[in-house]
Amino acid sequence: MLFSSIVFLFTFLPAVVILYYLLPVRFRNVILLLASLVFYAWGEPVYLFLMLLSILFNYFSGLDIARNLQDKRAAKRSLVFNLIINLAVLGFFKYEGFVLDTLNGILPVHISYHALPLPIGISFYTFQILSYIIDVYRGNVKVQTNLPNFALYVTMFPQLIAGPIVQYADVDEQLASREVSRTKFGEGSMYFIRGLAKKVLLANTSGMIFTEVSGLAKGNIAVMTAWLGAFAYMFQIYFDFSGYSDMAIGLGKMFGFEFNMNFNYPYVSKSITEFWRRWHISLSSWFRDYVYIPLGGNRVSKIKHIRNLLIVWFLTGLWHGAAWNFVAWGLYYGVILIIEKYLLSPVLDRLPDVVRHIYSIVLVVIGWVLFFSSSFGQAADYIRVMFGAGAHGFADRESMYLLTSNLILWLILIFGSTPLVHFRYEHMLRTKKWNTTIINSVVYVALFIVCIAYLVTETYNPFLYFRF
Amino acid sequence: MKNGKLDRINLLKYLMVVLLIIYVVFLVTQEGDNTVSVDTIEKNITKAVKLEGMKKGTTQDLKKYYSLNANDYEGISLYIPDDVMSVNEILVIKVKNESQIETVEKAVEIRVNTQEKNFEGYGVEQTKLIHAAIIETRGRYVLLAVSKDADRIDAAFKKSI
Repeated sequence: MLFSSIVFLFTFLPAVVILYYLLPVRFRNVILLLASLVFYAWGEPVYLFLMLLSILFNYFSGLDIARNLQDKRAAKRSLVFNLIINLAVLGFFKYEGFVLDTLNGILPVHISYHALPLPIGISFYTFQILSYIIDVYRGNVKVQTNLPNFALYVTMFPQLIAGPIVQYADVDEQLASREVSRTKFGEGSMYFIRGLAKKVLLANTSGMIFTEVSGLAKGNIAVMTAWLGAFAYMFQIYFDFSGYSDMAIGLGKMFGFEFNMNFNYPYVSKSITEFWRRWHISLSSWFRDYVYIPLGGNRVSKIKHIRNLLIVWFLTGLWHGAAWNFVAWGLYYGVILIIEKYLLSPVLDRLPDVVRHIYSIVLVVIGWVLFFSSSFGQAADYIRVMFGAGAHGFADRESMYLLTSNLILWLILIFGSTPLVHFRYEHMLRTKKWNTTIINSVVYVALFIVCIAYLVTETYNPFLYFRF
Repeated sequence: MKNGKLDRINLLKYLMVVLLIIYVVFLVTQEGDNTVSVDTIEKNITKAVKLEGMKKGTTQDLKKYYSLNANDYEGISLYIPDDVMSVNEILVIKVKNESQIETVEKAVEIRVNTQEKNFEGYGVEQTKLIHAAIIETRGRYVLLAVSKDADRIDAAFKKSI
């Protein structure tokens, strides 16, 4: 079920909210758990069983690690067994085809295989589970003895299928008790509608431009068209994914949870290092806490630090998808971050802000080309056209049409991806001394109605990050 | 494990692992081969049935009738009606990744609904064929068959994978 579907907005969500607030407080977690299972089963009935088995295995595993904490060797044995099983399940469902395709390409024999569809959200919920298991082993959190509460942590529908990746330590106490209020519910609704608008009005619309460009015949693309196509994808993926995160955070608030911010206007960054502090924060934090720091982080020799960064970025790329272009995308950022850290940082600091913005955006756009291309060859061809090789001139009728007929949209996308709109709106509410509740209600209800108008007419548009 | 004996927590933990393995084996045995090309499936279908009332479609036709970009998928085979009064149609798509399946299925459903609306009320035979359309997903392959031989097309599709 999609957050941006009519059935979710007008049937599922109202029903869950009503039950959640009408029933006694002690039933709230059970209601959310059942709702989450229904939500998942709606799109993935076959894989509900996989998730339930995974929950039970990790629940018992957590108990086993916790009771062995005094005996470090036994605890470590239990932890390693757990990691092997969790990573084997993730590896099998996500990487079986990738590994065998790669082997088929290298070996003289052909290995026939039976790749299964990817269970939606498996990368997200597996990482959440691992954060719990590792933190129990480290003694950072208390073991969760209440099975429904643990199951709720894994399955919570607001962030189950596309994040943010919530670390157990951040919601441990909230699972037992959390504050709900009208103000928090209102804040959550505003977050949710803002996310919905990002997805429906901005991501889907910029996605149409990208689809148009990617549908053009090879050799028929001008330099400007190629850049516009890549920019359209850059905005699509940002508004799509940050929209989903806003909706997840908003839904969390509506049920009393506080999830951490997942995006902080990444396209205003002045370096790639800054970009990754602002993009998909929950994933970067996860890799920092559970891979980078255990490897030694930056408190090691230069060579080891570079190795650590490359390992983390190789894994970040692989996490995004079982294909070499994702690995290349991850390593591309790994290499840039190493260069920034050891060479470029002093130079960048001296450059004017505008140059630093351009530098960051150009590298990010090239990164997205690696990301959206289905192969190295395709990515290389596209990047070549962006820089004039094999292009249909610098600009043609298609590029002028894409630019001028969507001029207002481009401006909205650019300003919408900066904090400017939000800050100006907040500033206006403060200075005009209007009744904030009334103004917000009018603005957000209007935004919601516009989204619904789009939703009832447009075709199915799943979130891009569902594939991860 | 205490004193070499399995206690309840470990017993349940290992039981879950065994159930996971059984479950995965079950899933794998239900699935088909994902390495077959769309061309092979197309050949098998054309061998199994005579494609009457339809002609080979292009990538532009895919865009026009299904709003799908051929480049987004690993392979496509499309046959469209050869005149305005025909509804015969075959589409086979091999997706690049499983997350695309829902998009393709939705596009196919929309196409079938549009055709249903086009012929409802005056094309009795056509409406009958559209109602009997087969939409089948196996592994990374999606099939739409609108034809009096839809079941044989479906059988050839399944046999190929």
